[in-house]
Amino acid sequence: MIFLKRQLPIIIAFVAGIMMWIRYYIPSEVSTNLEDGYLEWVRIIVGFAAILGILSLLQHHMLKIRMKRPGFAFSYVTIAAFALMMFAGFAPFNFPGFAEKNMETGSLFNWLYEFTFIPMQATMFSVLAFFIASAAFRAFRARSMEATLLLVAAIIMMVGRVPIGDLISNATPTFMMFGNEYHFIDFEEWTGWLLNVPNAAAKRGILLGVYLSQIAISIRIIFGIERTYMGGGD
Amino acid sequence: MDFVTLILNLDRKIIFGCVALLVVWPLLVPIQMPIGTTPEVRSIFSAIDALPNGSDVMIAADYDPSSKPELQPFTYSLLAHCFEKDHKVHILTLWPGGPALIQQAIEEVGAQYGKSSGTDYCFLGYKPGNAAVVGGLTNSITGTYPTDFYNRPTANMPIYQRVQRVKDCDYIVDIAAGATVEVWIAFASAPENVPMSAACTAVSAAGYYPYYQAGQLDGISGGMKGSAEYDVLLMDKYPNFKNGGARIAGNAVKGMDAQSAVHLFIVLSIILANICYFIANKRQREERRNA
Amino acid sequence: MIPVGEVIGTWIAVGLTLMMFSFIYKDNPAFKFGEHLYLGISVGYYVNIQYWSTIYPLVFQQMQQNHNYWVLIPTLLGIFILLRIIPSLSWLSRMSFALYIGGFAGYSLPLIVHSLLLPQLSQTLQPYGGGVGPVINQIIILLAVFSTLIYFFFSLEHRKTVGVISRVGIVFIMVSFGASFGYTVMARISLLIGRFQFIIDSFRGQ
Repeated sequence: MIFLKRQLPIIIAFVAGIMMWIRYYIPSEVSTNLEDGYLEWVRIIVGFAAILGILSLLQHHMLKIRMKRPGFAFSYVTIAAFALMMFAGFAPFNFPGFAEKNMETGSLFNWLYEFTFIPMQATMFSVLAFFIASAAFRAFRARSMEATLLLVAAIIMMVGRVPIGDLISNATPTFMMFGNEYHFIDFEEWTGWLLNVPNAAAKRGILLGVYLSQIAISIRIIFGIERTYMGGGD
Repeated sequence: MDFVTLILNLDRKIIFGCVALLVVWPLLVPIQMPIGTTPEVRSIFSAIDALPNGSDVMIAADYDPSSKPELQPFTYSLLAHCFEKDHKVHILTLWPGGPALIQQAIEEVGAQYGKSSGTDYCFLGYKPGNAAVVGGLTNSITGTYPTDFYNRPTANMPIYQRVQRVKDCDYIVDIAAGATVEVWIAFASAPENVPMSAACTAVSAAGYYPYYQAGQLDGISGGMKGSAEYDVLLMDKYPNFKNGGARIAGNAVKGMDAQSAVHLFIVLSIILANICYFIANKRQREERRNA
Repeated sequence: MIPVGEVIGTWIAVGLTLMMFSFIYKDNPAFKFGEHLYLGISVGYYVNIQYWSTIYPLVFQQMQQNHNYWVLIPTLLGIFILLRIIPSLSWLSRMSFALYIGGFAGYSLPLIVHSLLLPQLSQTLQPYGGGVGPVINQIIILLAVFSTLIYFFFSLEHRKTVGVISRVGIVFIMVSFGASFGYTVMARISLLIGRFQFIIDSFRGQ
């Protein structure tokens, strides 16, 4: 049993990892078929993995209702909404007033998506606009050299990447340099440089670190050194 | 309470109110500020425009309603641009929340241009697994998506008689709300040598500049402003698009006045708060010295 | 869809939008109701989309139409993943994760090197040219990439030369974070504009 629980997963990871690694260096029909088959399996497995998170969430709300925890009444709303969506998506008939069934355009499922899912999800994220404005006003202070740099870059971006930045730039006087005419304030030029030079370079530094660690972790997984994916327990 | 103390202790609800007012007012009374275009967005536009008529464009619309105002206008404009040029569109999503949004866009724009599903475009729908999907597309599009979004077999479709895999496409555009741009670069664009651009949310735009700077992306469109720029470019070049109805043309453009107003307010409020902060600090130091 | 449905739907959507906005004032029962409703709707939506986009076409249709029964193996592995919620059988999910994560580590390894690491490195170290401006920019880029890497290199103590270089690194990182912050503000405001645009259009009947 220990073999099944602990050693077999490491063997599977090793064999799958090595096979998928070396197939890259041997371009042939066999390696293409191997890759294709593996990727198809992964798509199916991931489909189930996504449902796992959903089941855990429902389990949490069921438990909340059973234990009558504070605010448990709202969990009924979650369960009822889930049931409605499932019914709308899986019922093999058209609901009265709707031309289609399941997920087709004109179905109850599609109606629920358009008029409940979209507005609620979009609004939930848009509320952050108020908090980000308030946080910037209250906490964005030029306390140190680093904070000042961040603040100046953010201000240039905020003004420079919207139409008002162009209006301000065009309103400033011009000067000649190397035969070209420049505005004293040119937000388009400044934001372009900021994004393409210091920003791109710093982000590249971070990315290179990320790639190197991804490579290291991949090797550790294949050779069974990294085993966190197995979870806890025996 | 003096002005400095008042500003530093301002109730956040006043800020909230100002933000709401500055969003609503320009939407009700538009000023219609001219919208300049950036080289990053112009590059995407020129790349699509320079493709010979009837080219195959793969569009990955990897977003959901949480970024609809930023990216849905870009999807509409890009689809309109592709159909203006008679390009064949292969559109799909790696985000589970996205299919119904794309369905709206492709059906609406497709109908407007008289394009038919399976011949001029194919909405492949959603499949989970990000890299497993993109990697699969490099071997076979119809193998990865045996059926389209409407569960019709893809293998018999006229659009897939010429095009078998990503390599057969002439261009890739990822309209992304997350980290899928890297997936498309790593698993499709770079290994298959298919040029690519990205239209992403403003949050992630700055993060993709290393790829743009390295030439791995032809262009980047960041957020609603990028979408508005694309609209402007399209309206300038194709008058048909301008008359295409409010839903397709200029949805992002409409928001730019409000965007400018709120940005200016935030910048001025940060500057004011910092001035007050330094005055208050100076006062404190003087008080301490005097004590 | 019937037009009445669209009218009713639009008003429901406006109501739900205002319900979610009520959080700005304070956490309240209307927001809590909306939050839980959203949770239920989204969970139901995701189950449907996973079934109709993955399990139905890749498993059931494959077996019915193409008589491809190999798909039963990944289906079984998928079911193993679901068993993670039953403690006594949760170990079975290790097989599925091992195949997925192990295989993917091998699959992505050469592509990360070929498609991401090397192009980014080669762009940083390319020959200088193109005039004074581009050469200055290239030098800045090289300096910034190197100093940023040093800043995140924690195996060395950040003192003396390493300390100075990492201080240079933080300058570039801060400028980069500033640019990201400016763009983040832009993103959030865009989302708010989208919602207000929706409410205004709904009142105007557009």
